[in-house]
Amino acid sequence: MKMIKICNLSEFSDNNIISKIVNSKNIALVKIKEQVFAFDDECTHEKYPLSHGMIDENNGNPILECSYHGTKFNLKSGKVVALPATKPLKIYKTEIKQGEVWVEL
Amino acid sequence: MENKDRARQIVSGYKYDFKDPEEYVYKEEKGLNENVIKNISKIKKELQWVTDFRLKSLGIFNAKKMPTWGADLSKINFDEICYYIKPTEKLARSWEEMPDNIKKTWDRLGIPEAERKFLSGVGVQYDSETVYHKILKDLALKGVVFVDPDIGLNPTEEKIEEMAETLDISIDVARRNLMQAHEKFKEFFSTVVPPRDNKFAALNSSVFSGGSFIYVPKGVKLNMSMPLQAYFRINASNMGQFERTLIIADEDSEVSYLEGCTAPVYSKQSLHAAVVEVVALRNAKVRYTTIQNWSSDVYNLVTKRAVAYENATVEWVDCNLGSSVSMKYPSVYLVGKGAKADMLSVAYAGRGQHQDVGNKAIHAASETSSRIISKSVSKDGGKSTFRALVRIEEDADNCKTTTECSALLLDEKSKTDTIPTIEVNNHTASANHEASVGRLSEEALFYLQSRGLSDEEARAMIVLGFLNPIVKTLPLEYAIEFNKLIEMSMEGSVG
Repeated sequence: MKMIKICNLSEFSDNNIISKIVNSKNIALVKIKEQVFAFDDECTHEKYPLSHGMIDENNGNPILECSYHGTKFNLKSGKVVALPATKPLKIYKTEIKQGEVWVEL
Repeated sequence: MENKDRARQIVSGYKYDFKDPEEYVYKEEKGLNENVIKNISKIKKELQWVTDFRLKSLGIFNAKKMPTWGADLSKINFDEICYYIKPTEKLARSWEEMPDNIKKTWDRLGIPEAERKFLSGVGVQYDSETVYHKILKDLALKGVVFVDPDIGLNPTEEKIEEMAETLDISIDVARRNLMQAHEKFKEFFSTVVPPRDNKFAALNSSVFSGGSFIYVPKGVKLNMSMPLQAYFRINASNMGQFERTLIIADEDSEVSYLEGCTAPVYSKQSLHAAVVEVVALRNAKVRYTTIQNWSSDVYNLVTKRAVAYENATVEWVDCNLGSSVSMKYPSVYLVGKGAKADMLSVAYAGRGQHQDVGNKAIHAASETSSRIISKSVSKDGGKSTFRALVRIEEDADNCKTTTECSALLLDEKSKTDTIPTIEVNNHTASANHEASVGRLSEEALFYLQSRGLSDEEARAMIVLGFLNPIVKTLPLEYAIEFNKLIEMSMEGSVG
């Protein structure tokens, strides 16, 4: 595992999910307030792209909703908050350094 | 009984074919749009987030395509359906408080008598709204809540006082119960069946009205042979009924719930698109029984799903007799170690009917088990389709599953399809499956007739015997009624 620079902070607008390919892996990213979250761009239910999803909030936690069948994930923990997915989402550690976004892959 | 009702029942062969005059407090215009949603929300005095939830769901419904598999839904005309009717001004606190024509309906269906004799609680829905809801006082004192979802969403002081008066409990107890249940409602509502799950879940999420909200606190075990019952009655023509049920059984609790449904026969379609969410927390047990006997013009499109946590048990008993088309697949997501699912299904498809039903079990944790047993009967050109999906995930060790599908064809015009799918992604799993399709045994028919039964009686007896392993799990009174319904459906099955 090592930190890889994935994109620039300027590419984000709040709550807008973007998708990048790194080492043949599809990684989705979203900036919510001052934090950037990175996760697999694949719903654990039926593998549809999560970069088509929506961002919401519940009790202070950022929630990602898959736009295909409505599964919801807690973006801090990756835990499933609403079915039909049962497996948690892989969340990657991120750092912001001088306007650049780095992800641990 | 009026002569015209009796005549109608004889012609349709359906004993629930009686109509009450349409005297409503409010009836929405036909068709579905944002104004209809806002009107429903306004009449129910909902909080803004509920209205927003409904409107968002409407957008999802409009965007999703109709399913391209399953039964033929091409004749559904969403613009011709009425999505909301308010039958009474408010919830009745006793049967006597109800308008006469509605009370008469429940008397004919035997509901008040059933409540007196063997139920822990009753809720009845007439077109779009619950008109009566009651639970035994001692259950209320233990913190059990059995109310309309409107109250679960927003337990106002007025509703708390009404509940206290109806159940003869103190306002403090009513408030404590409802506020505790309300917190659980917020936690789990639409997390088991989210609006985006499928087109009809989205439809329900936009226009839901009525149904049941049940919360059973930790450690409270209801008598499983005295279920909480809900009864759903559609009266108006071109009507849509969209009840939303949420059952939360907290840790170490037990509850049995039973629902029945009927409607008069009309020449125009009606639509029933319900959503049922069941949450069985650690060590809890929930049994959910349905006796569906909609009339032959009803499209019955339902999403029923349960999630079972550690060592919890969920049982679905699903009996489908009526409707023009039924599509429903009660499922259990086994997400906690040691959780169990038991799913029993009966489908009876007569002339002009397509029962496209089934079950799903998703093993997402180790040492979980599931059993699916289905029996279907097709006659007079009816079609029954049974779909099963069992999936064992790769990190779910030592799981067990059994699927048995049996189908009986009563004549050459009828059809049956069985489509079981079993996906095993863990090599420690044990999965069993069997399926059978058969016709009535000539030998058995001959034997029964040699004992003095008519051909019709012999056929009915064989069919009842075929269905008995599932029917015997019903409460006795319902098993007797179910058998009578089957016998009535079998009349005229010869010649």
